[in-house]
Amino acid sequence: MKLKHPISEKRLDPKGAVPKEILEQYPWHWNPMEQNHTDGNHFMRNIDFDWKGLGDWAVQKCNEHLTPQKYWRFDYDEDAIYHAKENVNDMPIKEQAFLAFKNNTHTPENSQYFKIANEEFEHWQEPLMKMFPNLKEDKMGISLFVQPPGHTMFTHVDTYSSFIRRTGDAKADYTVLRRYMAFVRDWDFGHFFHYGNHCFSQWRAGDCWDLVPGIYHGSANAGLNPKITIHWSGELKDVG
Amino acid sequence: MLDNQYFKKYLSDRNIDLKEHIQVDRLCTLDIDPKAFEDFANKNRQEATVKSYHPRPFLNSETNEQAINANWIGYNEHNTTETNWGLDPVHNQKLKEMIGSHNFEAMGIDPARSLVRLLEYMPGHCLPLHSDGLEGFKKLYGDLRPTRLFVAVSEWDWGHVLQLHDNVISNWSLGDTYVIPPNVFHASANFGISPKYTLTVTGVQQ
Repeated sequence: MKLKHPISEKRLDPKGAVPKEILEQYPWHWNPMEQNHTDGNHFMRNIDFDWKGLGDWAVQKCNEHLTPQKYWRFDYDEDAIYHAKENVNDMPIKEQAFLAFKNNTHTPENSQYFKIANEEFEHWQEPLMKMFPNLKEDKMGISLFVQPPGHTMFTHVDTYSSFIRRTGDAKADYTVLRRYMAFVRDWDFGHFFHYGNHCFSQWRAGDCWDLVPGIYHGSANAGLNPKITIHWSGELKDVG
Repeated sequence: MLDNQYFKKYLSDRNIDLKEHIQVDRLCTLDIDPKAFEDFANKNRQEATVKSYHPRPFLNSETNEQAINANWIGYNEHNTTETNWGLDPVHNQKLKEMIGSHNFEAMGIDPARSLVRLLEYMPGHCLPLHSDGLEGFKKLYGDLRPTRLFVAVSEWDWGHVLQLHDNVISNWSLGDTYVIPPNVFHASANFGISPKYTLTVTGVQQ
């Protein structure tokens, strides 16, 4: 496969692609070689829940249509980044996605995932929403991602595009937003997730992490089983 | 969603169990110049081997069965493309010279009976879970029971990872070297935004 573009001779620095307000509100070391960091200190707890039931149900839901709803695509004619069918050039993720997809090798064919969100959770929605009473219920969003083998989620800082889309807010107030993530199944071969300079392994179903804004992270699946994570996003009740 | 029964059975038939711990320690850290390897890649790009993960007639049946199982669940040229140098004897010799005799001593590898390959994985690409067939080395030197080493030829960057059975190798420093034990299943990925450069050194121990 011949590249369609030259490889950048200088190291791409992702920091410059992150929205300025996130950098200001959540200072971070931005050094992959930094050893004196606290990136691995955001484990919250293992949540007791029927994770096997949820994971099996989610895979069944995916099997009903077999088509990952989400993928990323760069359109060179339009100079636009698409998340599935949506042009997200006006979203705060734009510059980070440009780094990964424009003149780079993340593509629609290696960035796919299934997504189940909010009311799509059916009978699972209510107990899942109760897990984080510190998030305002009216703006809370829950998303479950099934990442098939061979696909990656490019390294990025969360910019809460789904939250903006769902709430209709003109822009996100990152001082009050929070995201929590739990692994739905135990760690498996080829399942990679890094949060800053902390690379995860040996996780157990239900292990929950506080994804503090402003920390660069991403994931990949080079194994044989789907990797499943669930994310809660919303506004903190006691801030702002 | 994905029919991974064949891949699962392949692992099960060989008693591959992630819950069993396999100790993997860093062997040494080589003293190497990362720019030399990147420059080598860019200078010799036209002669590189560019491949994706799929069965090929010169690989052994075990390796090909693994590739078939991986292709069956969605691995293809869009997510497993690798550019490598070293199969060309001129490149192998040049890469050995770039490593240098002092580093071969540190690794405990006989440079005269070794195959060095420089691997480039671009963002979004991975090497699926597999065990090594060592076909390239065996073609050159026969069945000599070599040691396979992983060498980082650039400092670690976000999204660059290697899994050796139940060990995730990351946050490496330039030159960090690990033994990939025989028949141990491993995988790697690049989900960052910069290319990942590593070496595999396969050789007879001195």
